[in-house]
Amino acid sequence: MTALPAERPQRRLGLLIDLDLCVGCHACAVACKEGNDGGAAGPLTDIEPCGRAPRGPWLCRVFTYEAGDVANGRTIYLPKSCLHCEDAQCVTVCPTGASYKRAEDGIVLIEASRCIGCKLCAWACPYGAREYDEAEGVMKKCTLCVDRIFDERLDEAQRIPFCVQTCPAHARHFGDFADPESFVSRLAAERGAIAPLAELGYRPTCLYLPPRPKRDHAAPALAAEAGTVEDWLERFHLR
Amino acid sequence: MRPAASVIAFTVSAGAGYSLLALTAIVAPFGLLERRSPLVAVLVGVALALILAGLSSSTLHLGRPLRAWRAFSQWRSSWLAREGIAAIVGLPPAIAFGALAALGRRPDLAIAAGLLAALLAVVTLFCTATIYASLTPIARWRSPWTAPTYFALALMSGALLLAALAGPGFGPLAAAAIGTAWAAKILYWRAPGLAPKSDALSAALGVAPLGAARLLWSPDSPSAFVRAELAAPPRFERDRLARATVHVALFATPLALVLLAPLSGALLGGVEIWAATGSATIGLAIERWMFFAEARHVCGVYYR
Repeated sequence: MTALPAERPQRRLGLLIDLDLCVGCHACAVACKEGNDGGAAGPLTDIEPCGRAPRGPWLCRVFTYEAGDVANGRTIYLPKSCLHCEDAQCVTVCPTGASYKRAEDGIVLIEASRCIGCKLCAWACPYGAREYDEAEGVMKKCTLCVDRIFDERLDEAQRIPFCVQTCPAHARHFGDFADPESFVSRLAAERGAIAPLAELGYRPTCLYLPPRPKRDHAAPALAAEAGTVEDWLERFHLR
Repeated sequence: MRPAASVIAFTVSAGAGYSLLALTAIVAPFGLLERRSPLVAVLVGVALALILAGLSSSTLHLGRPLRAWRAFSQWRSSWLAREGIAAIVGLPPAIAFGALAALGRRPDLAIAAGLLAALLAVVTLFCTATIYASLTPIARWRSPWTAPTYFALALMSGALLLAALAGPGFGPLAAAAIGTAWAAKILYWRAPGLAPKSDALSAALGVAPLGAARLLWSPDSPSAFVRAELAAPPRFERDRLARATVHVALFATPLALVLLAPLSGALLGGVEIWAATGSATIGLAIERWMFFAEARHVCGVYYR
C-alpha cells in the first residue's frame, strides 16, 4: 500500500553522517554496491561498466565539493543515499504499491516484483536517491540493509548497514532517531544535525552532521628576539 | 528533466483523443445523432484510436510493461493510478457511444454514454496534468498554470481534429481553443518557478559561513540514471528561438490557417484546416519536449 503509515512509526531507523569526518574514500559506496548486489536490493547490474556510457544502480554515492575561498576553503565529501523521509512522496506517487514505508521502523522499501519501472518515484524524490535498474526494469534504492540489520544469525555488532560497518573514518552512524536517548539522537542534538533541503517538507529521517568550523592554524608568533642557535635555525627553516 | 519520446507521444496522442471524444459527445446531441450517423462513429473511432495509441505508447516508458495492470491499485494516493483507472473506465462508455451512433439506435442512450465518456475523458486529462503539477521537486511544473495549459492544449488539438473531420463549421471553436491555449502557455512561461525553490546546497552542507560550495567530482557518469534523467542541465530554458518555434508551429500558423479557411474555397479551406492540424501536432510535440527539457529537478543542486 503506497499510503504512508497512519501513525508516526514507533522507531525511525536511519543514518547520521558526519561531514566533518568523511574523508571521501568511497568505501561506503563500494561496500554498499558489493553487499547489496545480493539480498533484498540485488542484483545491482551495471550496463557498459567499462564502456562509453557506464550506468547502473548504486544505492550510495559520494559527492565531492570545494567550499569557500582559497584562504578559508575546504573540501567536503557528501555521501548520499536514501534519507527514508517521513513524508516520502516517492511512496505516495507509486501507482502499483511497490513502494512502501514500513510502519514499524520507517524504512522505505521497494517490492521489486510489483515495480513496473515507471520512474515516477525518482521524479518525486528531491534527493535523487532512487535509481533505475535498466537490466531489471525496476527501481532500486537504499534498503538500510534491511535484510542485515534484523538478521539474528549475525553478531549483534554486525547488525548494521554495510556502509556504516565499513566506514574507516567512523563518519557514519546507524540508529533509532525516535529514541531521544539513542546515540544518533544525542549526537544529532549535540552537533546540530542538518536535514538537507528541509524546506521542501519531506522530513528526512537520516541527517548530516555539518563540518565543524575550521581551527585557527596560523603559526604561533615566534619570539621577537632570537635566543639560541636552535631558535635561529628554526626561524630560518620556517622561511 | 529528460524528455521521453514515449511520454511525449502519449500526451500528444491521448490528449487529442480525449479532447476529440469529449467535444464529439458535447456537440453530437445538437443535430448529429438524428439519424444514423457515420460521422459521429468516425469521430469516436478516431478518438479511440488516438487514445489507445497513446496508452500503448505510455507502456513503452515502463521497465516492466507486462506488469502495467498493477498500476490501478493505488488510487488512494497516486495520481498515476487514478489516471490509469479513469482511462480504462472511460473506454466502455466511449465504445458504447460510438457503437450506438453508428447503429443509429437509442439516441438518448447514446447521448448519456457520450456524456459519461466525456466526463471521464476530462477526469483523465485532469489526472495526467496533476501527475506533473503535484511533483514538489520540479518547481517549473508546480506552477498553477501546468494543469490549465495541458488541458487547453488538449482541447485545442481535439478541436482542430473536429474541424478537420467534421467540417469547417467548427473552425471558430478551434480558433477560440488555439487562442486560449496560446494565452495559457504564455502564462505558464511567465509564471515564476524557473529557479528551484531550494538552491541551498551550502546550507544543506552546513558550510554557509564559508561561502558557496562547488562540485569538484561527481560520483556518477553523465549517462547514469539520476544524472541523465533528473540532473542534466536544462536545455532551452528561456531560449527565445525554441519558444519562437512553439509560438509559430503550435499557435500562430494553425490560428492563421483556421481563420483563413472560411475565406478560401471549400477544398482549399479543408486543406488549410488539415495543414493547421499537422502544424499543431508538430508544434505540440516540440512543446511537450520543451516541457521536459526546460524543467529543473531540485536534485540538480547536488551537481552544481
